[in-house]
Amino acid sequence: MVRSSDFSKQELVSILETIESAGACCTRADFKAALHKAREVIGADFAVSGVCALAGGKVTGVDIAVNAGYPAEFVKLYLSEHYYRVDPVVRHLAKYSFTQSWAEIFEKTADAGSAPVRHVVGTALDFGLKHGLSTGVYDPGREQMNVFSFAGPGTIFGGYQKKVLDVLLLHLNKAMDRVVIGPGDSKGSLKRYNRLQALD
Amino acid sequence: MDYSRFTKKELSSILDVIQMSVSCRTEDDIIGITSKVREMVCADNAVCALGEGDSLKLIKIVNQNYPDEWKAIYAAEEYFKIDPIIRFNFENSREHLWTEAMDLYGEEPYTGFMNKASEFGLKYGVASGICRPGQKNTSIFSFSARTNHFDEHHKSILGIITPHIHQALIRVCDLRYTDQKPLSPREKEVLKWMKEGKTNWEVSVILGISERTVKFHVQNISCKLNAVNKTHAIAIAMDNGMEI
Repeated sequence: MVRSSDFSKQELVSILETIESAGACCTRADFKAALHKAREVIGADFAVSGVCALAGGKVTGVDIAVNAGYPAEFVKLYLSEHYYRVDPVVRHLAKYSFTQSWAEIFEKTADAGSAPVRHVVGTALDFGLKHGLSTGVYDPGREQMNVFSFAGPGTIFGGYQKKVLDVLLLHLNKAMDRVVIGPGDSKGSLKRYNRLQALD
Repeated sequence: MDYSRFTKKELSSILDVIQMSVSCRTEDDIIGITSKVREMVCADNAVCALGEGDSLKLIKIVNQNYPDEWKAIYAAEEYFKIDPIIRFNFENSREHLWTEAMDLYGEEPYTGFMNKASEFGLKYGVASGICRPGQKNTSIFSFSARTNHFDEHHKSILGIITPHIHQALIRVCDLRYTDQKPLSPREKEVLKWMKEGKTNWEVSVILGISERTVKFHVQNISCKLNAVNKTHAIAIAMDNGMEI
C-alpha cells in the first residue's frame, strides 16, 4: 500500500478528487475527464488509455480506449503502422504489468538500439512524447491488458509519479472497464468499441 | 466534494481507508477498516453489515467492537426490524446522524429499541450505507458513542469512504460464500513461474503443457485469489504466506 503520508495536503486533495471522479464515471466522456484529472495530478502533458490483446506472450493488437491529450496524428500513426509490434513499452508491460517509467523500460529492452525500435521511439519524440510512465492491468479471462500511459516532453517520471499512479490505477481501471470497455467475456474484445471514437 | 476543508491527517486517513478497501479480502481486513474509520469519526464502537437488497434483513454482520451481549440480543430479537438506523439507511441510502433517524422515527417501537441500545452505551452515532433499488446487497456502517459529538463533518467523512467500504464488504462476503478452494499443485507451479516474470507461453514451454492450459490455470488462480492481474495474484499469494 502506498503511504498516504508521503503526499502533501494539496496532493491528497487532487488524488481524492481523481478517485471520486473515476468512481462517478457513467459515460466515456466522464472517463476521459477522469483520465485528464489523473494526468494533471501526475504532472504529465499527455495521457492515453488502451487495450492490448495478448497471445503467446506477445501483443497481438492494440486499441486506444480514450485519448486524453496524446497528439492525434501520433495515435493515428501508432495504430495504422502497428507500432505496438515494436513499441518497447507495451511489449514490456505484456510481461511485467506494473508501473514503470519509459526510461526504466528502455534500459531493459534488449533491442532498444534496433532500427524499428529507434524509429518508433524517434517518432514519439517528434510529437513531444519524450518521457513517460506506463502501467497495465492484465485480465487473464479476456487475454488482454488495459494500459495507461502518461507522457511529456520535460517531466521526469520518478518515485512520486509512480506512487500517484499506483494509487489511482485500480480506480481508473474499474472505471474504464465499466464505462468504456463494458462487460464481456469473449476474446477479440478489441472490437467491442468503435476505434474511430478513440481519436478524439 | 470539497476536500480542502479536511485536515491533511484526515485526508491521509481517508486515502488509507480507500486503499485498504481496495486490497481488503477477509473479515479481519473489514474490521481493520471499520476500526480506522471509528477513530476518524471519534466513535467508541463500530459495526457493519450486509443486507438483502429488497428488505431490512441483515444477512452478515461484521462486528468491530459492539458489545457481544448486544449483538446476541439484536440477532435473537431480530431488532433489525425496529432499528431506526437500519430503516433510515434503507429508505435514504445516505450518511446520517442517529439523531436524524430518531427524529424521523420518534415513536414505538423505535424509541424502545433506542432506549435498549443506550443501556449498552450505544446512545449517539453516525451511520452510512448503500441501498439502491434493484441491487442485490445493501450495506450499513454504524459508529456510536455515549456522547453526542457527531456532526456534519463526520457525515462528510463517511460520505467519501462509504462507496469504497461497501465494495469491500460485498467482495469479502462474496469470497466467503463462494466455494474457496486452495491452489492445486499445478496452479502453484504456474504461479511460481509467474512470479519469475514468465509469460504464459514461456510457462507452457517450461512445464511442457499447452499455452491454452497455462491460460486456464492463470484464470483459475486469478479467480481463487480474487486478483485483478498476475502481479496482484503474486502479491496476494505472498501476503497469504503461500510458498511460491
